[in-house]
Amino acid sequence: MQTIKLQSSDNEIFECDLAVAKCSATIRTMLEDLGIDENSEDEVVPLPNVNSAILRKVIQFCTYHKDDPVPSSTDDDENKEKRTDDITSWDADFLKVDQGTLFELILAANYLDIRSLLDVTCKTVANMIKGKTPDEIRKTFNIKNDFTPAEEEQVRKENTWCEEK
Amino acid sequence: MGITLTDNNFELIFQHLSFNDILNLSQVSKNLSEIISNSPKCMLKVTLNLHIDDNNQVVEFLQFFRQNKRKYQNVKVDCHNNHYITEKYMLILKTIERSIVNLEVKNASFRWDEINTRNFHDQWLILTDLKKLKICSINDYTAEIFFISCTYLEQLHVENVRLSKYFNYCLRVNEKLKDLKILHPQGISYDYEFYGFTAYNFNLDYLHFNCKENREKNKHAFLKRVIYPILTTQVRNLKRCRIKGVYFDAVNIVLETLNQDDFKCKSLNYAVTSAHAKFTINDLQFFCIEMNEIHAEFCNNLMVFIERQNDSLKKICITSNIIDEDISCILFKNYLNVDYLSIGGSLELINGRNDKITKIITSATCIEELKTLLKLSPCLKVLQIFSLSKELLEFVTKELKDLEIIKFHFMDVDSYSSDIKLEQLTSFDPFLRICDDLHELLFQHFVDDSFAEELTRTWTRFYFK
Repeated sequence: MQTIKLQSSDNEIFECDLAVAKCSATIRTMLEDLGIDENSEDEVVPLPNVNSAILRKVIQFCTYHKDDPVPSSTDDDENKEKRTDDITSWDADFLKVDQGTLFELILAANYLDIRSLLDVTCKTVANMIKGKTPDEIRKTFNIKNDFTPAEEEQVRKENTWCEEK
Repeated sequence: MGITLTDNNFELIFQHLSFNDILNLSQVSKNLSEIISNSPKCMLKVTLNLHIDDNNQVVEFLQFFRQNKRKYQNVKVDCHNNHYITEKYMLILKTIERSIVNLEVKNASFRWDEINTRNFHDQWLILTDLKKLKICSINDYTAEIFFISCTYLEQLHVENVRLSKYFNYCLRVNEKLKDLKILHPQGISYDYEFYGFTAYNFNLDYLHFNCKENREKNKHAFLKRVIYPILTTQVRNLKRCRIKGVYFDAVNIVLETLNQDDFKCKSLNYAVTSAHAKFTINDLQFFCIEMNEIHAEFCNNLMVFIERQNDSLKKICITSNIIDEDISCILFKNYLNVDYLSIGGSLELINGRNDKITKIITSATCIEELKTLLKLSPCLKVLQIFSLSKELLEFVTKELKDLEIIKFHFMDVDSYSSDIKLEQLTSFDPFLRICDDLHELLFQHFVDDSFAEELTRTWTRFYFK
């Protein structure tokens, strides 16, 4: 089994299967662009935007999902509200993390271009928002209400002129 | 949210949220409100509906709307045929003109003196992203503003609007147009062909034209000056064509145009009322006749027309109540490939038989007529009717062995009664057992909830709306 070394932003080196690393489109491109072939054992792929704690989680996710079929881009309907109730139990357990880690996973998935991880993390955040009032959303994400009363009234009033497409 | 996500990340999260979630999120904080205002995915789910009918309130709203930062993509405007309100709403549209993708405007009426007293060019909109425009009952000056403001339209619906040179200009510059609907035009202005006739560069998939004009002369002019040039350039692209309200010789213009070897229109609605049934429309699959009454001459023409199309025709829809015996002979001849028949309410003249018909929709209520119709369609799989009686249910379960789906509005135990009582359920039991092959029995209205509950318990394949 071929392996590859990945270096996190805090200089920790992770050795993982090449097939696992290639779940990331960014790493695939880097391997091609840097001319690192699959036999060069000493080469290390630097990932300056991902720290070791998050990279460990990303590798764990990719190891579990490495054999999943690549999702088809034709399934996307831009205008449609997408489902959020189709998260598998493994993914749900995997994402039982604090909010900071969840958002860092989104950023890492975005940087590493791992579509399945990006999709499931965004769905998890969407599920934390769904059905909640503005106040409940503030409490969930610890967000400060920085509207002045006039601004808040403006947004609330404008919303009354809006209807669903 | 402590960690800053990118706009792209937010877009990915937002696409999972409903309209209400988005509105709630917009009230959480300034930052989120701004992100939502600039998010195409969020704004796609929201429609700004402007419909105030009071002058003072509109002015108030305009003041309020000056603070708006949202990039609305979908906007609906009703100006209530009030020129003052029209002007104010146009000012609002001006502030969001660059983001609008889908716009509906109705009852708008600019006054000529309003336009002259201001710089007319200020009223012009620049609708660079507009893809869908629907305008209904707006006066010439307002229509002009919209017709000259957009060049990337994919869908244009005009209803109750005069067709001027600006409309023609709009057709000529919108090369991406796919869907064109012209309903009940108020007439054609003398300058319609101001730019001369040149071929349209769009490739329409769908053309819908309906003229309610009472004066035949105007109707004919409309067909010749507006529809004919469109049809002649689009005949090779159209996938669906719907033409209503054109009778007598004018129909021939349409049919002569459509009667081309490479016409690929799959669906055509039009009224056949004069001797033009000689045409064969290649690959025509769906044919619909929408008329209030069918007379003998029409029947003769229709009979010839339907026979000529029989290689491709799969669906026939007749909304009229009268079915001539000759027509029914055609509809129920085995050589016809029609497998879908939608038919009006009076069927007493039907005879023949068609083994290919698998779906019938009918509003007929007379049990004997229905039985006759069903006997002639022994391979029926789907039946959609108004009222299902015990007698009819017994009949279909015995006679129509292939029947899979029955849809109906009312279930009558006694004739013309839609009240069903629980105690009457037992009388249905044997028939429900016979119905084992049915996949679906769809109820659209129910009076008695307990009956509905009992039925679902007895037979799990009942569906209730």
